[in-house]
Amino acid sequence: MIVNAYAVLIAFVSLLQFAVGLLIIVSSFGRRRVTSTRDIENRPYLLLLLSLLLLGLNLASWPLLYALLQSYVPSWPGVMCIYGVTRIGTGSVGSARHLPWLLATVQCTKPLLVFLGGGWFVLYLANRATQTAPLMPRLLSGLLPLGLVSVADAVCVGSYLAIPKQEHSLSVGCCTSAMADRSRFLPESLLGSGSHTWLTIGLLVVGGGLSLGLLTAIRSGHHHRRFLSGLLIGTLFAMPLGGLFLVEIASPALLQRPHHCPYDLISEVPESVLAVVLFTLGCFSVGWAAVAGWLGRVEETQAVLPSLIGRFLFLGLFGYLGSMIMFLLEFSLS
Amino acid sequence: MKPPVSWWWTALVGLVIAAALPVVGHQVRKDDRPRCNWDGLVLDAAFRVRVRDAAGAFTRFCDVGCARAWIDRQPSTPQQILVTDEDSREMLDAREAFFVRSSIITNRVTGNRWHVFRDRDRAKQHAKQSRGRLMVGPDHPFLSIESP
Repeated sequence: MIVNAYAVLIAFVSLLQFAVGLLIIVSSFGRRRVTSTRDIENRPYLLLLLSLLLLGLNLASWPLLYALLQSYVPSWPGVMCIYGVTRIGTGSVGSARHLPWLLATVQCTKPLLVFLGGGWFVLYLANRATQTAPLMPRLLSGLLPLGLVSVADAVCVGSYLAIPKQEHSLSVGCCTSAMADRSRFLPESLLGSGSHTWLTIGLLVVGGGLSLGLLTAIRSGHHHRRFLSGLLIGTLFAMPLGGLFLVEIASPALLQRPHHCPYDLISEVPESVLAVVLFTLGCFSVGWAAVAGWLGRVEETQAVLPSLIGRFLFLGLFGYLGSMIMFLLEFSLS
Repeated sequence: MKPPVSWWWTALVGLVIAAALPVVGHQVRKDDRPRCNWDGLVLDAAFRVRVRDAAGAFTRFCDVGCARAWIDRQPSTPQQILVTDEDSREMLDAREAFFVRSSIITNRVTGNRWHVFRDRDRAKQHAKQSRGRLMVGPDHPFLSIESP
């Protein structure tokens, strides 16, 4: 176990995540019997407040995870960036063998939690704008997956922190094998060698198309389910394309080295992290607008929904445009 | 719903700030010190390596380990490899140099334990003093260009 300020902080946040998540799961199942009218009045609101706290914790824990991993980099010789930290434990026979998959799981659950939390928050906003809270049952049932994923995420982070990060290998390598082993800390290209011009063109087409679609939707007020579905499908294409572009083209170009490692950007080209965040914001905002359009549509929300969806589509447009501008400038300056 | 004009102005300001950040970042990071083409570390004059590829272009590395890792991933054999004699800090052709792998680590980040000498006796002395081994024949780090 490596204890530093980030480890203590993320352990505390994970503990809170676990406690609040568990409380929300128990409350969602409704195990505690409602005894009075006051209970009916108060309990959902306490639950909603707890959920908002959980949303904040989930959001804070995402950048904290990467700050923690970055702080672990100097702990092992040969590890040069977060990618190396994620490979610690590979091929080990001790408890350290669980470290890679725990980290991989956490790196998936963190964005999932932010998306789920954001989707839930959109419904919360729609519900707040109504007189009779018609979306309350959906809000309460939406808390169960949020709580479950939060608890799973907190358990994975806690386990990762607790497991000793000392590798035990069956074969204690000589100098030659140790040298060869160093290559596992180096990220490889996912698509093999080549210029992958098609990837850049594909992302520009999808990103440009999405931006135009969002602009049309915002200006003309097209918030129909069919239109939102089209934007969502475009976003589902843009997400893997964006990830591949980051690994295959952006990282080597911005780092000016043959490294396909987006983690290096955190320490060496920090402003590019904002471009990634804006792209993620663009993708998630379209998803949240779709959640509002599909799950928030009841008679009482008809008046508030166009404004709410419009806001998230606007946020999505800002995210896509911002990330494209930042990456284009980064490339031209590199 | 059409967003009010103030939203567009706010977004425009946000985009201008986003566009300014890469420019500011590049200015702040401006660093002309030569860096390794493999791991980005600043070159140490005592261990630097230069590799001339098939096209004739030179690529710089911070040590023998980085140069080897880069060469392994190249489709063609390099034309020339220049390494640095640790004592004089002068560059010489890898075919004329003597390589020792010893217990002395030159860089904690890369974990490099390759040491380069112009003189065979000096290389043997270093190997003896630091529990190392003179790497010749199949152990030569740049086997593909080693002189027959």
